Amino acid sequence: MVENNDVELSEAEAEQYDRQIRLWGLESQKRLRASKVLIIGMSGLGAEIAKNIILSGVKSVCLLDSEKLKETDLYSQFLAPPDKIGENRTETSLQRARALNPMVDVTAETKGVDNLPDSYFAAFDIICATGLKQEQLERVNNICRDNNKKFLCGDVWGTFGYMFADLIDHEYSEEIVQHKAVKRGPDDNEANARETVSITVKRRAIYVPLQNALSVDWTKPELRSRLRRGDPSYFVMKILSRFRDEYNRNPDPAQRKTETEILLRMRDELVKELSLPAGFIKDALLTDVFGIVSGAAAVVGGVIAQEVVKASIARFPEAEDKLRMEMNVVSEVSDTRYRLAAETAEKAQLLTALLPAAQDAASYDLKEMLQRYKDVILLNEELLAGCHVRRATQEQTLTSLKNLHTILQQAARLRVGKYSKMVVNACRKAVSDNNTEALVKILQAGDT
Amino acid sequence: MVARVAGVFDEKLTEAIANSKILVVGAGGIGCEILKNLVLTGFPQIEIIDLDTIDVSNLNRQFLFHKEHVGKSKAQVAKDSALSFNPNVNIVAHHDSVISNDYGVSYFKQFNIVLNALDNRVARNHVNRMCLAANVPLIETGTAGYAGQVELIKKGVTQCYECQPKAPQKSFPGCTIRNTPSEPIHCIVWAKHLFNQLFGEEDPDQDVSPDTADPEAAGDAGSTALTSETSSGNVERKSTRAWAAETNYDPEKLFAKLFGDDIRYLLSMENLWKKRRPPTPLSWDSLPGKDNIEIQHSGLPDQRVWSVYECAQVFAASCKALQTDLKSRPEGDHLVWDKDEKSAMDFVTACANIRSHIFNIPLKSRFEIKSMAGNIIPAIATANAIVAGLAVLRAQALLKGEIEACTSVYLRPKVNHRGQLFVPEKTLTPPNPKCYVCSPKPEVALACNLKHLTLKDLNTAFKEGLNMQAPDATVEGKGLVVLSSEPGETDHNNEKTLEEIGLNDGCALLVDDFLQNYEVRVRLQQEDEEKTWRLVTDADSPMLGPKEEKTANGSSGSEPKPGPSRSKEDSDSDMEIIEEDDDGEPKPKPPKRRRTEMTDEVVELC
Ligand SMILES: [Zn+2]
Repeated sequence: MVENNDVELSEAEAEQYDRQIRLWGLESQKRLRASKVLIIGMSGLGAEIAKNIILSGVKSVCLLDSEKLKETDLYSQFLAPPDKIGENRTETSLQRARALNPMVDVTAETKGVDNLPDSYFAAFDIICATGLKQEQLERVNNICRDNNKKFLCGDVWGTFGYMFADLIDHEYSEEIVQHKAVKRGPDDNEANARETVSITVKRRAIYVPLQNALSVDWTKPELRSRLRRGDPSYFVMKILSRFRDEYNRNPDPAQRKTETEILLRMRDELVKELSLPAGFIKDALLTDVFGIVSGAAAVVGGVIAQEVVKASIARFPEAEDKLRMEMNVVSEVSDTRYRLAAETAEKAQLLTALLPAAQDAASYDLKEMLQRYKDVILLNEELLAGCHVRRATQEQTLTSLKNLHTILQQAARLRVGKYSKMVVNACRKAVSDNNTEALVKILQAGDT
Repeated sequence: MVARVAGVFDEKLTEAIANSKILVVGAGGIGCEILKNLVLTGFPQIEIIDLDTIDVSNLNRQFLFHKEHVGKSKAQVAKDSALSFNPNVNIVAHHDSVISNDYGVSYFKQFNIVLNALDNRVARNHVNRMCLAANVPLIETGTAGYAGQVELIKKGVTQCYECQPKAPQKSFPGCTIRNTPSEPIHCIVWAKHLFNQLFGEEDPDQDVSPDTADPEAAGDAGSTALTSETSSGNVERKSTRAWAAETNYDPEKLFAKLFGDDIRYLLSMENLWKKRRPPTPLSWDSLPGKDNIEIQHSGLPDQRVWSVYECAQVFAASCKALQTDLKSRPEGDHLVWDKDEKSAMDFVTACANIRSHIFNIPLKSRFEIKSMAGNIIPAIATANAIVAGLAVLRAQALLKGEIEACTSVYLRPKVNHRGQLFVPEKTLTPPNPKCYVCSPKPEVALACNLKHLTLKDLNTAFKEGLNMQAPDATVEGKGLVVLSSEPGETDHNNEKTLEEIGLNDGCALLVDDFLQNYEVRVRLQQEDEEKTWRLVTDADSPMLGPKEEKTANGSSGSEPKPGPSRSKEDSDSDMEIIEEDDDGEPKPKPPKRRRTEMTDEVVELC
């Protein structure tokens, strides 16, 4: 995604993208313009994702879908004209999709995922998959991993939805707002006003693949204690995925009553299988999962597209002046420390990571409507990264010299000036002292 | 037309949607998204109001509009585009300001829910009052960059839009702007004032010449200045506009006065420069950067910081263009500053930068100055889509009668430490019993000097401070009308002071706005020191006074144009988002401290 970063934006681009350039900057907009995105599934959710990404000004968007437009799609699919029922969903969406932003190259692929070779997917920078079975999702995810491409997926059933991102090993910069006391000029009466300043820090997140997230062993004691406080959204997603895998379709609004019964039965099976607490997944959670509700598609599609944009523009601004860089890199390290410390204190962080809306929901009686936005499952990348780190330290132990070498390299790369030396020396000294605990810490902060 | 596919919603909601009538105020970033969701869901009767027309900079997010629509009515194009998603719904589009007698309380009463998708506080306040008066639930939305929020406002149940006093817009003392600027924004505000002095509506509060009444300069104000330069001396007694017209807007003469003579005058106010670095006057013939004009620049000119010489060239060209524009208008007409108007923006960029150079303040690119001068809030498609989605889901919950579930929800720029991207309030926020808008007996105090404040000023205070459109005021207990919104009824008293028309300390006025169906009791409070006026609520939280320089051109700009959206500041937001404190997240420590910690740790480890 670096091919034409050196080409300046045209006046027309600067004008059209003005309001977002003011948010993420000119360089980010250039990087966005290099990004090739594949969107799988042209349901209402696919249309929302496509709209947002095309508007943002990526290089190209391919819409992939072999299905035909159905009446239920009209509830949320605004790219396909309502009189095209029975035609291919992606072909009928093409015209309106292109009209959203003529500067983006929008194409359609009418073959299904199963009829396309791995190499097809590897040609994109980022893939967003919707409406697929778990097996298909895992295949696409693994192709992405093998080719170091970013993968996102999500779905909406009724007013329920989820989102998952696997950006593999992801470095990005982040703006942090800080409050700072300032002394104003002699003209100003408020002598010590507080003002907010934003600084840019560099961050790194290690993601886990979808199959790991879906095969978490919930019988582990540290996770079970979390269930009592947790949000059942993750399991609702599992039930709906299973329904799709089993029946090769989504629950049918026309058979609302009978299909709800099937879903409740599947719920009971899952509860038994994972020994979940009785009443954990309330009936009400499985009654509003028919069709795709436009508002929910807008929310989940917005979140997924925002992740695509972030993944496209992520890169540490190299032009930062050195002083700033020093401070930020150091603060990044201490942030990582903070996170890991918190994790050790409360080991079962993983569940919250999977179910971010959990704690609030548990603190009062869960209302169906509140569920509608909370049910967007956001796999918290950073905390998952922490989990991954922990696994690495447990399973692989810490004596690998190769690992240490990598750490030293990273330390050297990330840090400048005396701080660079300080960190590298700290690592070396830890090795020579055979300070196991210190090494664990450095490994955790630096590498997996 | 009912919700389109049976079985997506339960019967109750399907029925409620089929019988609903919804008003969407604003067809901008959030408005387009809301309209799409409503239409797709099958809401059968929708009205949408927006007075704005489509601009190119809208196209990155207002997806119902395309390039060929630029210049057309937002409401109308939004309606046409949305109907293509579902031709079976009925949409009424109003290319109009929502602040109009056409949209009174009875108009609002016909809707089940009003959804606000506005970009300015004046219109938000107004719709808030209309919905309170009509007792219609209002779903208020806003975004700023990645962040956003959705809030339900229901009379007697939740707080209203005006229950909490909003943070005043950042303001600067007049003498900082006129005499002692120290930041780029000071020069930008000055440049906008200069635009109004020369081409726009002349406002005595926007004087750009040196302020001899600056308390800091007391004693020596201009005593030695300009006594020998009669031409400039005369300028001080004339309006800047008249003088400029006499010189036929000659750029070199204007430059010589603004950036030469006026600066020398300031230098003569020696007290100002005892602790400050004094400014350096410029002359047209020896400008920095003149020798480097051959350099080829790559990239967009907006992104590059121009040299002082380049600024002067742009100053000259934009002066001429603006003068031509002004001349082409009928006598007495004036220009209105608009960040999207090329010459107007060029003029402000050039003047702000030249002044910055004079005062040793860093120069800025046109792009950066546009952000500050136009008060542009960044806006992206995704945040608008998410907030609009949440708003319509909230509307569905309301229709189902689940009002308790409609708590405020915040979209955060990134997940918080609990992993939440959406942070909901746990319960509805009850009304502020002392709110001067929605409490059963609204009351507020007006601090002013009754010996100086005129009836005209009082009218302004009601309009600007209390956000009324056409205030009427009577003396409590006496029924005496002191201010009438009917033309001619009380105009003859406009220039009289409040004391002269018989109002004294402690007396109470009943102030009423017929359109808003809103009445408030205003107690007058004599304060000798108060130069203009100031509202004091019962909670004793000081509120915004009227006459300070304001950076945000929002409601205090030269030409407030209340309405669903305003071409001058294009954003979908007027929200106060508290980034760091809304959920008890640990406050970030200053970077310096972190560095120390890091060092400590390394030492500890070894
Ligand atoms: Zn109120």
